[in-house]
Amino acid sequence: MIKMEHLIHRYTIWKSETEKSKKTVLDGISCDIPSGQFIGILGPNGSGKSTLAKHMNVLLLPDEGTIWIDGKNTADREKLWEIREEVGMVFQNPDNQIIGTSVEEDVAFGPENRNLPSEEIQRTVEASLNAVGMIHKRKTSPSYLSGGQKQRVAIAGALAGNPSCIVLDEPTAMLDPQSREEVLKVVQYLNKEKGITIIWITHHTEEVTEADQIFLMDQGKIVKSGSPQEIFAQPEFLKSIKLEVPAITELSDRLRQNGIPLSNPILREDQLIAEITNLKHGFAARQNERENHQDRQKDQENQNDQSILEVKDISFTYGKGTVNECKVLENISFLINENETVGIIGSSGAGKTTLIKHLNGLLKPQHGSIFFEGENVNDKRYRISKLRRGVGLVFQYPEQQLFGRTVLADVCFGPLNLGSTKEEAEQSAKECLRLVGMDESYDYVSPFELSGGQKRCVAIAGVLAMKPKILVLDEPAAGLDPGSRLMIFDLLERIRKERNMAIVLVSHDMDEVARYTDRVLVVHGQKLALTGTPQEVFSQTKFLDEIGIGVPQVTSVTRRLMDEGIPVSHPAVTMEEAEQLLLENWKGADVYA
Amino acid sequence: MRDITIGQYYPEESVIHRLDPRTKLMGTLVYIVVLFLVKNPLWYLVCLGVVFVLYKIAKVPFSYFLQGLRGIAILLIFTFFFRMVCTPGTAVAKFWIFVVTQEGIHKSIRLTSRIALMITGASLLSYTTTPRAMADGLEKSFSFLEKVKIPIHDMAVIVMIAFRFIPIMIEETNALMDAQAARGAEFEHCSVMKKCKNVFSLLMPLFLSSVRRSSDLAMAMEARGYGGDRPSSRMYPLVYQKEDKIAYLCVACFFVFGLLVRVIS
Repeated sequence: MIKMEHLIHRYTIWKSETEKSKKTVLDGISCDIPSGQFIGILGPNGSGKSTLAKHMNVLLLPDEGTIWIDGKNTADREKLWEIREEVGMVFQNPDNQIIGTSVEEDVAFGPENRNLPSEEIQRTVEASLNAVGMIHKRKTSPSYLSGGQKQRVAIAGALAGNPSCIVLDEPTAMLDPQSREEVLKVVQYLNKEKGITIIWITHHTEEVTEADQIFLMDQGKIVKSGSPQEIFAQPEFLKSIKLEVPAITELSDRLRQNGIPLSNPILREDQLIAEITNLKHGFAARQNERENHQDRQKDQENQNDQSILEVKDISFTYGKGTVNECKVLENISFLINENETVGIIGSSGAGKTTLIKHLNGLLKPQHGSIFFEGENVNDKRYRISKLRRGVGLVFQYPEQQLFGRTVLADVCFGPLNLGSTKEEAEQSAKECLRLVGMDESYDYVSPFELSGGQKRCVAIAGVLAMKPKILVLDEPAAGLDPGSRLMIFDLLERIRKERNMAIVLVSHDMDEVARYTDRVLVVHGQKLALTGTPQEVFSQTKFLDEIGIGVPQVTSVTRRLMDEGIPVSHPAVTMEEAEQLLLENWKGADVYA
Repeated sequence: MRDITIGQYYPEESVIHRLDPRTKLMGTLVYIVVLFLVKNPLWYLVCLGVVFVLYKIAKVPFSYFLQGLRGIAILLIFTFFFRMVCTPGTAVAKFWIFVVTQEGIHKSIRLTSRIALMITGASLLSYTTTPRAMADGLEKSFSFLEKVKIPIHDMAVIVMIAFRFIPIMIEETNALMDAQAARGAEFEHCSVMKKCKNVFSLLMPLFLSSVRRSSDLAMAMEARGYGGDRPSSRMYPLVYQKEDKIAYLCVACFFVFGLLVRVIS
């Protein structure tokens, strides 16, 4: 289907106004992709994945080397449209690739460009929308769709060109886990049932565990290729190029290293459960760890009862009194204590963003009240700038709000707005930049020259510079690759320790929430459905599954193991906990033998 | 915020809604021409009657008829007043420096009602035609200009993309306003200097994101076979139906009526 031979691509970068230099992005790629396969291309940001994808659709031409699509050389200009019909493309940002003002109009865009007769276009559009399960939305405007639905429309758009191969360039990077699964399922269906070759580019390793072949890319080269079994059998290597190992594989690997004889690698949850259940006799009967667990909880409860922010009984309705009235929040109450990390979870559109906008006064509660450091912020005499200063709010994709000429100027924006003098602002900005790990050499660089992860750090510093007592972050790791994600969370830990701040974290990623928070609030059906420690909240597996949030994968694994009669005291929420719980009662394989 | 609509489409099932946009465009054009043909204000009553009937057929409520006029109320009042006092002729009344003349009254009534009728008629077009259909209709009607190298098809694509992206940009602006407000930026109660500076904090990111969006979009369009000058087709091409033929007949009759009135008077 696709064959590449020593493909080299260089970008021109302007070093200064006059001087330019070449940067090699693809450095001698050779591979051969057979028809009908599901290929995963994994690699950290900047490894050249997207550039490679563009070569497959002749959006770029190689500087050296050759690429053939179905025997056609992409350098052959006359074959251009033929090749583009052969290979469909789906890009990362769902909003930037939908052209039509309604779903079917968008899907029709490809066939219309090929000048097909109307009846045929209508037939193709209908078939494509059926294949991705979006036919019921054919007349809807794309702005009413969820991220996952938009990506499905984009896939239908590619499908309408009747391609034999679809290249998806990080299609899930901007989606929440539910949508991610939804898109992956559609693509797997197209691969299995329609025999379309799929090239799935991602940095989420767990998405490609069922691929036929995986290419690992780093610094413009294919550093390794093979079946998922071969690739994931070497978790150390994956980590060395800043990729994460799927949770299941990681857990089984840790257990194996501690003497539990499991096969290498284990990629699916069912396999892990089955293998451990087979080793049931190697585990001793359960002892009294339960108490331990409860003690820990008590510890946490006693640790701090100094609340900074109190939300009391707030309700909020959008478009009150109009036809579009929509109730978002109803009677929500909670506390935020000093020096704790609170996670807010809930399915998309549950009102999480509306809720956090209340925390720093961007929205005023229509009912109920909010107390910051004991003062009612709804009071007419209360100065709202006090709350703005006290509660820092970092929105989703905060790097998009950067505008300063230099990193330092941008970070100073907040403190200057709050009336600090220039010196004070710079002082505070510098402190915060150092805190987020940006050293002095970056102070006078334009923020637009930084990498995605660095930009985000600068944006967070921009809020930190206002010296808030509570830092609220909406999906701080969204769209980042595993390396940058880790960097952001390390940073948050550091901020909390050094600044003694409370952190409120809104997230769709349950593993993140379980690992980094002390307390979790579940927003569902306009209300707070559950609150408690991650252990307490995630033990409600069934409820969380029902409302479409889910639980961390290790929780689901340990819960299922408990059901199978393996002596595990309670469902674990983090990797370390799961490992510890399973090893506690492990007596050794020889007992079993 | 997602409900921002351009134009003022009033969704309803009616013959007029179903008509081909080209027919409606032609109808509106003829209607306006007739308004200029007839001179006697009495005939305007007939035109008003016609518009009423059309609104009735289109099932657009009467309040929308007035809504169209509200926007230009000031313009109408000014026109009426200045026409009345600035036309020389037989004086009827006199106050301060203004002289109201008989001819002035006549002319002002004519001009004001002409503008009012024009607006209400044209509003009906926008109430019954989606922006997209309107763009399609315009593209098709002006496609003869392609022959003289005016890129009508490209313009139509641009219009379509604008319709898609304006709501996205508005949403983005709101998100940015929230983000900058969270960093203490004020957009309302502050000095002009400060306001300018703060608005810059919105414009810069918006500009950058638009550039990013357009380069992404260009890539996506190219990947889906858009090549600018390649011939293309439509999923729902504009085809005249029986209703359109009848409508054209009515329009023609109306035009002849206007001509006759002109010739007779």
